[in-house]
Amino acid sequence: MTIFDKESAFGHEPGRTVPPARRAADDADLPGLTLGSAGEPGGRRGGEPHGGPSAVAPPPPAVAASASPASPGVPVFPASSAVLASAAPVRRRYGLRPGLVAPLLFLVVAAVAALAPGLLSGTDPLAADPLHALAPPSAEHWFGTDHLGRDVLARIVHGAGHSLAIGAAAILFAAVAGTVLGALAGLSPRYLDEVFSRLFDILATFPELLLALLVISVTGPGTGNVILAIGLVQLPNYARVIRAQTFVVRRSGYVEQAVTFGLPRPVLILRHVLPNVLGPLPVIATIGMGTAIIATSGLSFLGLGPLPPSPEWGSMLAEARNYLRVAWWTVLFPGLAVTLSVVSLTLVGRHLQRRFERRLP
Amino acid sequence: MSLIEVEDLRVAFPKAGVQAVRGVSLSIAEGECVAIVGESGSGKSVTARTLVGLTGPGATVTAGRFSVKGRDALRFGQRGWRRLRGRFAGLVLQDALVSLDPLRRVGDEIAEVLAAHDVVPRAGRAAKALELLEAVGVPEPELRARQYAHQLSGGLRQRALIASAIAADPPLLIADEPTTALDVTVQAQILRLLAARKAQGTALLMISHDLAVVSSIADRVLVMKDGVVVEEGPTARVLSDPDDDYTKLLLAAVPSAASRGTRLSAIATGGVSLRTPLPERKVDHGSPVVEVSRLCAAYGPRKVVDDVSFEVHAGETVGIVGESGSGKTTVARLVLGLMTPVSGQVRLNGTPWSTVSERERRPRRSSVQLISQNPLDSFDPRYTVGRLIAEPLGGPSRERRDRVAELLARVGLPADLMTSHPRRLSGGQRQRVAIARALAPQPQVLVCDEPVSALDVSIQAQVLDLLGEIQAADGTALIFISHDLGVVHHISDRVLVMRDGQVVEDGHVDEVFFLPKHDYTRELLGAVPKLVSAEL
Amino acid sequence: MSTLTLTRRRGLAAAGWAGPVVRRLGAGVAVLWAAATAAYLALLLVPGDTVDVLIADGVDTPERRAQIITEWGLDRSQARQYVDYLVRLLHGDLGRSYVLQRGVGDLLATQVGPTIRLALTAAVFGVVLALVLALTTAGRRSWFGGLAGMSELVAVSMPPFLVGLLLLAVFSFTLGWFPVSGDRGFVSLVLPAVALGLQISGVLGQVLREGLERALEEPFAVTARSRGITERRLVAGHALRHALLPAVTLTGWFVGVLFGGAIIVEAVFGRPGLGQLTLSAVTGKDMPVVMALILLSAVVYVTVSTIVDLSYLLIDPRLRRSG
Repeated sequence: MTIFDKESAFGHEPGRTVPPARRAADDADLPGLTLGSAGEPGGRRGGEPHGGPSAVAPPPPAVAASASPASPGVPVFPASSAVLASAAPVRRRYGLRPGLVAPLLFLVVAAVAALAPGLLSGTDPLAADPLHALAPPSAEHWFGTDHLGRDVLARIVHGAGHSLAIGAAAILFAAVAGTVLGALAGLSPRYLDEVFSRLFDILATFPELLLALLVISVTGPGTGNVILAIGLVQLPNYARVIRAQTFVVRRSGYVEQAVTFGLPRPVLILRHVLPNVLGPLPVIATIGMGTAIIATSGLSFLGLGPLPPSPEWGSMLAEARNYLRVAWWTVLFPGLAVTLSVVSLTLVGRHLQRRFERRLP
Repeated sequence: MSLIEVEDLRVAFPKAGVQAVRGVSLSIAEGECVAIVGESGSGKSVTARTLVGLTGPGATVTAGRFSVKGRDALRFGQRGWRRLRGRFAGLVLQDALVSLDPLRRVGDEIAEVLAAHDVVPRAGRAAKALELLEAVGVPEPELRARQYAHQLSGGLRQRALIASAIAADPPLLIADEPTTALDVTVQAQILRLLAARKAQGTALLMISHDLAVVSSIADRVLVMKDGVVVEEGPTARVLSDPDDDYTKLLLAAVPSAASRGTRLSAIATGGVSLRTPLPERKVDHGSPVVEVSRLCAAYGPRKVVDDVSFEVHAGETVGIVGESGSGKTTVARLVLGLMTPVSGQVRLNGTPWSTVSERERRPRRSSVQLISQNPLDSFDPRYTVGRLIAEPLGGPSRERRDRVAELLARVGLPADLMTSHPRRLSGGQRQRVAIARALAPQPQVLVCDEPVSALDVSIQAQVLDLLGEIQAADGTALIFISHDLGVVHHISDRVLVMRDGQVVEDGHVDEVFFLPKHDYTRELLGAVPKLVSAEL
Repeated sequence: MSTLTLTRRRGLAAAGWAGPVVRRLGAGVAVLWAAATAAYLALLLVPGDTVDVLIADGVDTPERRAQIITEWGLDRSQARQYVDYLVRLLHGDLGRSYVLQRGVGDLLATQVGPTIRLALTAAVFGVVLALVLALTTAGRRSWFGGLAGMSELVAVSMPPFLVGLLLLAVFSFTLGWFPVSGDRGFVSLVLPAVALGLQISGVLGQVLREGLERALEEPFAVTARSRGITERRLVAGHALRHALLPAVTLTGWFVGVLFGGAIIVEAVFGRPGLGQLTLSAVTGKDMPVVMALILLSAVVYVTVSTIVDLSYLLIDPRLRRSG
């Protein structure tokens, strides 16, 4: 459905003189927030600040970033800084908000679990103890034991390495490949771009899980293949966002200005286009990693993920579902681990998004 | 009897820490036209919206007295305000493209007012909407009523917006910058429409940044600054014999034929503002720096520049005026070598410029620099002021620091701004940064594309003065593009009047503007709102 | 409304619809072709001899092999095989599953019903819930709004099978209100539909709320308020349409969520349907079925996204181009 973004990218006919008030509209700082406001209030003509509703015009709906349906978890929205500015004039000035501490803390713990699980749990996640199978949470086994008597906490801690690493690797693959392809498309002549974007469209056509299943039906299950499958599924998101972003940046006033300095094209692209194109990447990658973790757990739940007995959160849940009636802890705790990871990533991602939008002119 | 009487109105946005209006008193009598004039941040819009209870969320409104139609408005709830809006006071905002719902038909937008107050029974609303469109001078009302805002021209949609504001026949019309987004000829039509409304007995509250716009229509003027009314009185008196220093400064800042060669940002001292001359400019009448000959350019099949020729000499300013879509910006892009002409050519210093390859052009690019309307758009969002200015010098470095500081000083900015971010600067400061950057590579030609259009008039004055000084000192050639005829008359030596990609008339600025030969030039000049009091 | 009938009489072309409609139909055909090709490529990419791949776990006899070779034209040139394959698809022939010994078309026809029922119920549930949440909380800073936002975040952050398991634990095992598995009437549809629908309502609710809040701050909202209309009318008559625009773009993604989610949810609740078929095809490497499923999902996607694009045109007149 990016059929629209061509139109929006070319929405303003080149060379059309935009009436001053409309052009200057995105510059909507409240007077008190503009430095040096005494003599020279925010350089606007006409419309004045008036608290909530802004008299200024946010751009027509599909602006670059929004044109590509972004990573599904939470869609990345067009940065209408005017609206943001008026909606959250004070909040936007401060960096770390209290709501961010908990998710960050959780992610740090999860990262430690993934990199050095021994630090958090000394128990062997594979050590079966059939005598104590399905034991409820206790001082000895904080999160209880599973049907083979393995410690659930230890399995969750050791599983982080699988679940999170697969998500991270898949996103890394999707982001790198997607960025390269998206930037290529955005910088190519129009007909090539057309080919590229049709390709992204088609890749985005398939239901995510189905595409992943298709890849796995060709390659077979296993960690590497899951990474490939999920990475491929996510790739078009990145490619489309980056492409749209490249379009905007390429035609931006500052790139044009840099041309008048006599900068050669490669310097232009490296110095001005790429750094600005990459701006939204951390945002969608963070939120996308949450999506990837969900997808990974889904594939392992279906028995197509990392092969057992590796403690992966999704496969733990798949095993646990047979004991749902008698041992809720075998479902609840791995489930919490997945959910909290994704919630934390999303919250951090949204924070990054707000910070990113604030940077836009 | 007064429609609205407000005493000591105060509006604050505590969350943002802003006191937008600080003690304004205002009354509007039936059939009267009152104008509030001020620069951005003066609180004029907030005042106007408060009068219809639309100050916005998070605002605290207090007043010594606030009576609307004789009733105490401070005690109105949402329902009380709703009954008044549209019925007692209609509101017209700046840009109808976004002030009319873009997803709804124009006719439905007008009918909405009729429905809200049930002035016309349901069955008659569509017909009444057509009637209203016709009344505001929209031709083919049946067609227009079922179109959407984006399908109408700027003037027509502004008329439609006015039609929706007057649909329930309110005794008061509040117009907040109703003509700011419009071309000057269309602006004149809308002003005539508002004047006709006034003649029919509707009271008007006009909000504008432009003294000239309100001078022909307003009975009384209030000049606002920083949330306070600094001067108030009958229009003719305020314009011809202002008491307040700020009003004087505003009036003096308006560029026009009379202000040529003088400073606009004159400091009013002791109640007298004197025009001080700008430093003398020397125009080098030898060989031209820029030669544009028979230039044609097109976007796809659409021809946007058609057979344009002119020359610019060192130290000279050539103005290009025209309405939107006239092709002036395309001419700028062509001169800058950002676009390839279809035919004709641009020569720089006597050597081909537009016809050579980018590789050959690149080393010469530093001699033509651009100053655009919205400086923020032209700044890489990641860059600080220092880095921006250093870029055309070859990138930031220790040695270039001094040069950057020097450039900042030239445009009247302190060197410690170097580390700040342009987003943190005011509009005027940003434009100064843009000028400093353009000066960095010591260009022979500055292309200024609407450089002061987004600025308040007092800031505009400072920027225009700055450009004048720079030109006198460096002998830079200026190509100055603007829709504002006053600005162009003030700054230019010669002028080109453009329309639909063609130059309809050119020559010395006084000749063209005082003795226009072409009908279109006459129409443009006739449409420019004039300060009734003439010149100081 | 008279204006609407007028548009109708003037015809689609006159209203600026013709261009966009043709373009979108063309794009749809291209996507279908690409999906067919992708499916074909997948078949070639599976390691091993194509005949072996097609038989998979099915009975392997020389006759069967010969039959496969003629059916798929494997004795002809690569290009010819590909063209033959496309031609067969155009005739509606999806091939045979040698594992299940049945025509793939038949297989799909028997399994598609329960999945569609599940997906539609889930979609209705999700959309209604999202609309209710967005309309009741947009623009208001209240504890309820905060709670709704947080639950939406949790809803989208939970894998659908986890939601399913939790629902089972509470409503089937503990309360005994709903059956644990199977497909017996509406009762057995409730929990799976909720599990699937929550995903949609989470995302859609956020998008709608943000859209509403944004629309309510735009200048046209100020103008509308200045006409003296009620806030309710402002939302219903103006803001909701604006909020729907970004939501509509996500519909294609929702289809993916429904389809993909259905596979998992059907597994959790032991329901028959395309999910079971898909899983068994993927694990059993039953390529003809896998290929058909890819095509099916592409058809669904193209249909839905064409409808979505056209409804986009319906909602936003700015996208229609005259001439």
